[in-house]
Amino acid sequence: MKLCVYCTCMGQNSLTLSAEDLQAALGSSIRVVAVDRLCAAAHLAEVLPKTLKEQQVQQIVACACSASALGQKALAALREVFPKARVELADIREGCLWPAQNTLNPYVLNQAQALVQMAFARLEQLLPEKRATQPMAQDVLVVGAGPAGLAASQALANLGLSVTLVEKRPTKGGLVALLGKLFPRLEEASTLLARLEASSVTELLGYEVTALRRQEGSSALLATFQNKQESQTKAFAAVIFATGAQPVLPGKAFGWARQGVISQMELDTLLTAVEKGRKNVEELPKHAVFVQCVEARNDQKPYCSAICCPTAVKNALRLKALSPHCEICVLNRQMVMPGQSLEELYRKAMQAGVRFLHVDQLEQIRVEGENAVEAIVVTSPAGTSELRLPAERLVCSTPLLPAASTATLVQDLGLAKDSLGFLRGQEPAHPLETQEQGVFLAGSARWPVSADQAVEQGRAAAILAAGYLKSLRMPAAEIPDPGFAASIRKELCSGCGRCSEACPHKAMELGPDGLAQVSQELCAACGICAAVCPSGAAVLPQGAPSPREIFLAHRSPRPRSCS
Amino acid sequence: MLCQQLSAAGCDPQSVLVVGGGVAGMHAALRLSDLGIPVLLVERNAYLGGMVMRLDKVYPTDHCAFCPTWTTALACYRSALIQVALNTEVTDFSTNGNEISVSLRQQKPAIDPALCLFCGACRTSCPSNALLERDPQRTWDPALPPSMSIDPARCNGCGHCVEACPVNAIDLSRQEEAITLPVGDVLFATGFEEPKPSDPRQAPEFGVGSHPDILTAMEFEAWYNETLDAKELQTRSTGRPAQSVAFIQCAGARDQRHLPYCAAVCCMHAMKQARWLKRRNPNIAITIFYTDLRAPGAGQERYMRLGAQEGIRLLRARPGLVMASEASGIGVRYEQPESGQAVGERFDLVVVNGGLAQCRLSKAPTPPSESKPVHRCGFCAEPADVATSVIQGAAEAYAAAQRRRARDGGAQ
Repeated sequence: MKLCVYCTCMGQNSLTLSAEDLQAALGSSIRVVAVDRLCAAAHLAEVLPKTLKEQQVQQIVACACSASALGQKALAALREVFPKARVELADIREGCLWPAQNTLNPYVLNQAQALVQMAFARLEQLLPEKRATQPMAQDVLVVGAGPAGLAASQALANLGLSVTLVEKRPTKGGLVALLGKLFPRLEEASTLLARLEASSVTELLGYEVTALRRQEGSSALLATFQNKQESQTKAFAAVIFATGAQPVLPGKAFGWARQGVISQMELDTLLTAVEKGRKNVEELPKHAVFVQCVEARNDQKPYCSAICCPTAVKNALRLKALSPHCEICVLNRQMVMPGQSLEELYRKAMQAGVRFLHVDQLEQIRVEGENAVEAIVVTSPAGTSELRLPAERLVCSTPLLPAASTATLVQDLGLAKDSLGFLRGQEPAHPLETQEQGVFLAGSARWPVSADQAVEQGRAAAILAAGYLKSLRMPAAEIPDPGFAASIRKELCSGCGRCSEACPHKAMELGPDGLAQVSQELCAACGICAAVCPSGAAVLPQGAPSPREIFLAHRSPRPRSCS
Repeated sequence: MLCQQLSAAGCDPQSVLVVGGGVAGMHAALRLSDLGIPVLLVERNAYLGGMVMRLDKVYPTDHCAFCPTWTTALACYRSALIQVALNTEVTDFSTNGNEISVSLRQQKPAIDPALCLFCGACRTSCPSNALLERDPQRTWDPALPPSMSIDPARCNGCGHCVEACPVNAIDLSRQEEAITLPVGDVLFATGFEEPKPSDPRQAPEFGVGSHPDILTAMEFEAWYNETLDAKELQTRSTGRPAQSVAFIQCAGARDQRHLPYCAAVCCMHAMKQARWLKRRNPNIAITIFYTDLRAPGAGQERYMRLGAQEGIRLLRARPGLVMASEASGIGVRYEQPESGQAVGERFDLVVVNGGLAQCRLSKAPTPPSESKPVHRCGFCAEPADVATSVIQGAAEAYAAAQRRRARDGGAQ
C-alpha cells in the first residue's frame, strides 16, 4: 500500500492546500493522511489512524519540508513507526506551497501532486536487494621508504592492518638517511628513523613497483613489483604514495661552476662527517656564502620548494656551532621561514651571527677566482655599487623535484599532478586523498616537506587508509546504496563501447551480443554512461520515466493571458 | 543526528574530547570515529567550521571556503560516534591517575536550534521586530536546519514569542548549563584569534579598532565577500567607493613586543583578498606592504606571480604608523625601500594583516603537563593553513588512537 503522510505544518500548509484536495488529485491508489508537525512527531504512532498499522504499508512519502530544513527528521519519525516500509521525501513546503503562499494558485495542486508522484517513482526504482559484496584484498601497499612511507607503514601496522612496504633502493630512510641533522629541532636524522622502526611490516627493499592498476570488477589495486631476480603481483585494498622527491643539482648557470661551488646536500654531508669525527674541523670553510632559490622561483620553475630556506639556516647554525669564527652570509630573495619553530630557528641564526642579505636577482651575484672560489661579488640592483664577500665555498640551495621513476605509475592510475610533476590531492579539505578511491599521498611526493611534516602526513594517510578499509568491510546493509542502477535500452545500443570506456566503476561492458550491459553490483548510478552514450541507450534509472517526465506528464497546460 | 544537548549519559567515559570545532578539530574527530572511537567535539561558537567558515574563498585554488567546510561539519553531525556540543566552553580539567574529567559550560541560545521549526510564529508575534531569519552573528550552524534567532539589540523581553512558539523552543533567560564529564583523552584544536585592540598581542601603531576604515583581515573578509549584493568596495566610514586599498603584512607579527612568530598564512591570504578585489574592481589601486613574501605551499608561488602580473603593487616595507588622516582616508607611514626615506601615503581602506594569535588555553586550561602532555593540532599547535590543519588533525587522531590502545593494553 502507498501512503502519503501530509504534514500540515501547524496549519500553514493546509491554508494553501487541503489534504482532501491532495487525496482527490492523487487518486485512490495512494492514501493521504494529514498529520500536524511530522518533524516533531514523538506522538506519530498515536496520531496516525489506528487502521493503518494492521495494513501492510510498503511505500511512504513524507509530504513535508525540504531535506535541508527538517525533512530528515520527518523521515526518521516515519521510519520508526514503519520500520519495514521504504520512505521518501516530497518537498511540499519550500518547493511548492511557500512560493505560492496566500494566493489561490490553481497550479499548486498540480505541482504538489507531481511532487508526491515523483517521490513514489523514486521509491519504485529502489533496488529490492542490497548489492552483493565480494571478498576483498585487505592489505595496504606503501610505496617508498622515506620518513613518510616509514611512518605510514608503522602507523598502519599499529592499527592492526597488514602492510607491504616497497622501496626501490636497498636501504630505508629516503633523503633523510643522507642527512645528519634535521630542522627545526636539529634532531639527529638517525634518531628519527629509529623511532619509525616497525616490526610487523613486510619490507621489500630493492624492489620497484613497475605497474599499478585496478583489478577488473573490483575496487582492489593490483601492484607488480620486481627486483633483478623476480617479479610479483599482488592485490591491495589501498595504496599510499610516499615516493618522495629528489634534489635538483646546481646547474652551470651564471658562470658559477668551479671548485668550491657545492649544494646544501654536499655541505650537509661534510658537516655530518665533522660532527661524527670522521673529518677534521679544519676542512670546514672559514668563509661561506649561501645562495637561496638557485634553480627555483624562476620562469622555468615558478615554485618555492619550502624546505631550502630552513635547510640553509639549519646548516648555517651547524657550521657556526662547529667553527664559531666562520663567517656566513646567506644571499636570499626572502627567507621563507613560516610558522613558530622556523621563525625561532631564523632568529637563532641571526643571533649566532649569520648574515642575511637581500638579493633580488641571481644575476647580481658573481663568483671570483680562477679554478676555485675566492670571493662572491654582489652588485646593487642599479649596478652602481658592489659588495665583495670573501668565501671559499658557494653553497647553492636547490629545490626538490618529484622522482621521475614514478611517472608511469601515476599515469597508469590516472592521478592528477601539477606542471612540475607533484601529485595533487583534493585541496584544500582532503589534501592527502587523490581522486582515485583508495589511493593516498604522503610526504614530498605531494609537495616538499620537512621530515617532521612527512612523518605527520604518513600517519595522517595511514589513518585515512584505515578508515577507507573499514568502510569497505562494512556489512552490506550499511553500505550507502545509490538505490538506482543504469540500464541499457538494447534496441538503441550500437555497441560502440563508449560507456564501458567512460564508466569509472567498471560496471559497463560489452556483452556476448556485442551490446552494452550493466553490472548491478558495481554501478554507482553516477550517470556518466548516459552522458557519453551517443544514441541515448544508456539510461538512468531503469527505463522508467524520469521525475521530470512525470512532472511534465501531470502538468496542466499553461494558462493563456486574456488579452 | 543533532545531539547538541550535553548529557552525562550520552557521553562515553572513554571518548576523546576534542576542544575546538574548526577544520583541524572536525577532521580529528572524523578520523577517530572512522576507527570506531567515540568523540566529544566541543565548540564555543554556535557553528562548526571555525575561522574557515568565515572565509569567502580559500587560496590557492580560489575555491569557495564554505562548501568543503560545510560538508565536513555535516559529516560530524551525522556520525553516530561524534557528540557535538556547540556554544560550549571548557572551564576546568581535573586528573586523577589515568582518569580525566572535564567541566563544560554550555550557553543556550534564546531559541534552541534543535527544536525550532522555522515556522515564523514568533516573528509575527513580536512587537519590536527582533526576530531574525538570517542573523549576522551566526547563532546557528548553516550546516543544520535553519533556525530563527533573536536580535538582542531590539528584543524588549516581552515574552510574546515564548507563548507563540508551538514547540517551546524559546527561553529568553538563556540559561547556562554546567556539566562535568569523564573523558579518555583530550585533544586541543583551538585555532587562532585576532587579538582585540586592548590585547597586548595587538600592536597599537596599526590603529586596529580606532577607525572603521582600518580593518583586520577577517573583518575585511566579512566586509567584502561574494554574498554581498554590491560588488563595489566601499569605505566603512562614508560608504563612498574606495579607490585605493593597502594591505599591511606582519602587523604585530614577527615582532618581539607582540607576536614573535610568523603566522604563515597571512601573505597568501592578503594576496587572495587583493586578487579577488582586483577581479571585481579592476580600477582599485592595491598595495601590499610585506616583510618577506612567504608562499611555500603547492601552487602558491604561481598565485603570487599572477597577482603581481595583475597589477598588485608589492612593496617591501614595514609601515611604522597607520592612522586616520584629518582630511580623509587613512595615512600610512613607511620607509621607502630604495631611498630609505620615510614617506606617507594615503589610502581609502587599510587591511591590517598578521598578528594572528594562537587561541590561549585560559578558557580551556591544560591538564598537568608532566604525566600528560598537551596534545594539539592545527593553528594552536603551529600556524597552519587549511590543508595543513586537516593533515595535523588526522595525524593527532592517530596519536590519540595509539594512546587509547596503550591504555587498553595496560588495563588488561
